[in-house]
Amino acid sequence: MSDAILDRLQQRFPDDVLAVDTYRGDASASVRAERILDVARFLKDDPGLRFDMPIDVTAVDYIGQQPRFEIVYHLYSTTHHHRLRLKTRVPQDNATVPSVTPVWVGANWLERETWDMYGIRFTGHPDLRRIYLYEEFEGHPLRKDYPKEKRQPLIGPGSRRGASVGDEHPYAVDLPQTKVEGMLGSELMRVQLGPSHPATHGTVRIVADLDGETIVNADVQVGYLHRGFEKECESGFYYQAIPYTDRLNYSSAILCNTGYCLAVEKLFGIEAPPRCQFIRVIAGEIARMADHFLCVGATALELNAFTPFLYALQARELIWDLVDALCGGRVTSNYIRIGGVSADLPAGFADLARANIPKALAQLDDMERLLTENPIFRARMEGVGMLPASELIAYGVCGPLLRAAGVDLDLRRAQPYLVYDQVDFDVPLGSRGDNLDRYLVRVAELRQSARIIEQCLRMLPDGPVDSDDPAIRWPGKSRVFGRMEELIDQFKQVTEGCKPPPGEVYVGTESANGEIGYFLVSDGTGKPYKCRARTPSFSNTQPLAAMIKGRLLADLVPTFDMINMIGGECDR
Amino acid sequence: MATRTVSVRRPPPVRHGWLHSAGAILVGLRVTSRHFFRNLWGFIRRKPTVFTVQYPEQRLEFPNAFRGMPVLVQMDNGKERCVACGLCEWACPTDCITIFPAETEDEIERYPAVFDINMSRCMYCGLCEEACPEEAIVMSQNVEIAAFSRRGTLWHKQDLLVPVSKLEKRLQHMRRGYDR
Repeated sequence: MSDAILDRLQQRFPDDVLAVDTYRGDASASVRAERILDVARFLKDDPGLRFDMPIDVTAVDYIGQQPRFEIVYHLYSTTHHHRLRLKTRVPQDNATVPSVTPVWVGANWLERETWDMYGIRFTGHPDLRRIYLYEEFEGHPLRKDYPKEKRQPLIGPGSRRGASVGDEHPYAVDLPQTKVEGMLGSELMRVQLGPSHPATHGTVRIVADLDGETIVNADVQVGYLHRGFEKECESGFYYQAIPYTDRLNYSSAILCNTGYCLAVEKLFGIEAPPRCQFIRVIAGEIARMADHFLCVGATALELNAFTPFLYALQARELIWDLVDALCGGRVTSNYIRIGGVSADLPAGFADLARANIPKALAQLDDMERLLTENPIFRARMEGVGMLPASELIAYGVCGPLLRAAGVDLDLRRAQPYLVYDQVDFDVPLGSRGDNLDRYLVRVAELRQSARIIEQCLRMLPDGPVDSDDPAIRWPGKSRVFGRMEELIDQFKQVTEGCKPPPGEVYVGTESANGEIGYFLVSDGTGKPYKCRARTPSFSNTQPLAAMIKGRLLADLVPTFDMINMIGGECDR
Repeated sequence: MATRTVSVRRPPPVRHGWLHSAGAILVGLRVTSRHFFRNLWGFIRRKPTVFTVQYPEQRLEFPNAFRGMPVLVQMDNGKERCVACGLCEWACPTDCITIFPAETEDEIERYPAVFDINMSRCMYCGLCEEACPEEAIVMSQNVEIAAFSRRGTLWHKQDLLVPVSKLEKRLQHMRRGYDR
């Protein structure tokens, strides 16, 4: 299938497609930077390709090579369910490339991030500001020649502290003063919601201009939890990045672990043993349940329904007892390993799961009784936060948010990985795409996750849980204690890391909020040359401004909650 | 593939009027009062059904797999099992471990003269324990490590030593989990 895509592209642009290549099943094409917009338009409009969803835009800094920067676009087609990696190179002294925002509106934030991190300018971009870092930041941190230890003017000793952050500040936004039909037409009032606000369970700043109580325009600013995930991963061994992936989505950490380990395994071209794959599915679905419980509960809380929140947390506590028994950590699980899992299921785990999950679902029943038919909850949720499905796709929105709008895109079903093709589950879809649908989809998914866990526990095969390749997975402890070869393996593995062959892969998996994807570039050493996490919270938060425009200020809260932005995942 | 798509059932439209609003309140009260009476009944029978744990008077028992702060295993002769090979230092993603090795005349001739863990950096990932070829550093069940100063979060070798008898649960888990 990937060959057909590349053939089609080469036929249409024989002179502009410089190279095509398929590595480990990933199709990628390099094109001339100045023609990127035409190629993008073709990819989106061609009926056989229909790459309508921008998954990711990032860059790779090949320092010492000419041209130095490679900009990488990952695309997905929601009609044909295929992927393409589009690449283009730009030199250091003229690091500009046409913006693809006219084709995919969702490329907006992704290109801002690439500008922020690599200093690549996108011509024709509507609003090329830094997105994570502040305007005074000097340099672009993901460039290879940016030292990790470098201190910045606003932090560290000798900083210019106390710089006032008011409306005169360079990163105070300039929102267009549009008048909307049917509004008061009064003087606009600017409201700053966040970065720390009780009604936003994530650190995000929303600058909204109000006409009366109606939001005329809003600017969503993220980055308050940015901590350089990618830089940190590039400076450590492959295995050392696993605990960091926990901290992406800390309410469903195991799913983030799984995606990363699948990506490294894809670099190696291996698959984990069957028992391990089942365990990963069980652990992942448990994490998904914890995430959905938190999302639904926190939404209720922020709409002033405190009891359902307590029920949700109690249910999540029962779920977390399972995670705790599995890997010893509740929030930061660090469970999945490259080629295996850190430890097999503990004794009696199946019984514990069969006892706790029904209890958690009983709490869910009570929550539903309190929420679903409640007039206040319904009034706040129904008909709020809607966007047409095509627009959501162009924003790169995925997960429950997109399924609530009726788009059948669940990667567990569309591109099955692990053992999701062997289990029986439903993909719940909404019809209108409002907040109520999003809530209903999440509730339905909770029950489906419980179904998947039960099936996997029944189907769980015996056998090894870890790959036995000493070049990938650390050797077993009893052999390390007893034998010289394994001891040497252990020393080599810890001090050099596993070394995948050079190449680049992308793996997208379905996390609780949507597609979490890892783009890894290996140069054959023990450290990833590039480790990029494409996170659902980032792409799902982007259309927030569009969703709440023209709505009341009070509608912002449930919409933001149902997006379920996780700060750690959005800001990385 | 046995997956299928289903549409979520949207509840019927909300009906307005004071009678329906009162009904909604009663529905909510039914759920919450059921919880209330169940908890009350549990309290009367002295079998509490309340989920909350009154920490620190009550404490939960952690599972064997629990990862608390990393500690050093102290052998029966009072010495550490660590041979200062430095693998945990390598494996640690946050560089929170500092080791200076030294030598003695004992049977195990290498030992750490300095073994510090900066607990303000440690993120409890357990990679040090997985890397250790001697079962010398293990994740304990201790999580009460608050300190009044930054200096207090730096743990030295003498503070980190825990007798092997107190770590049996974790060692059992490791021997089961990390063996392949």
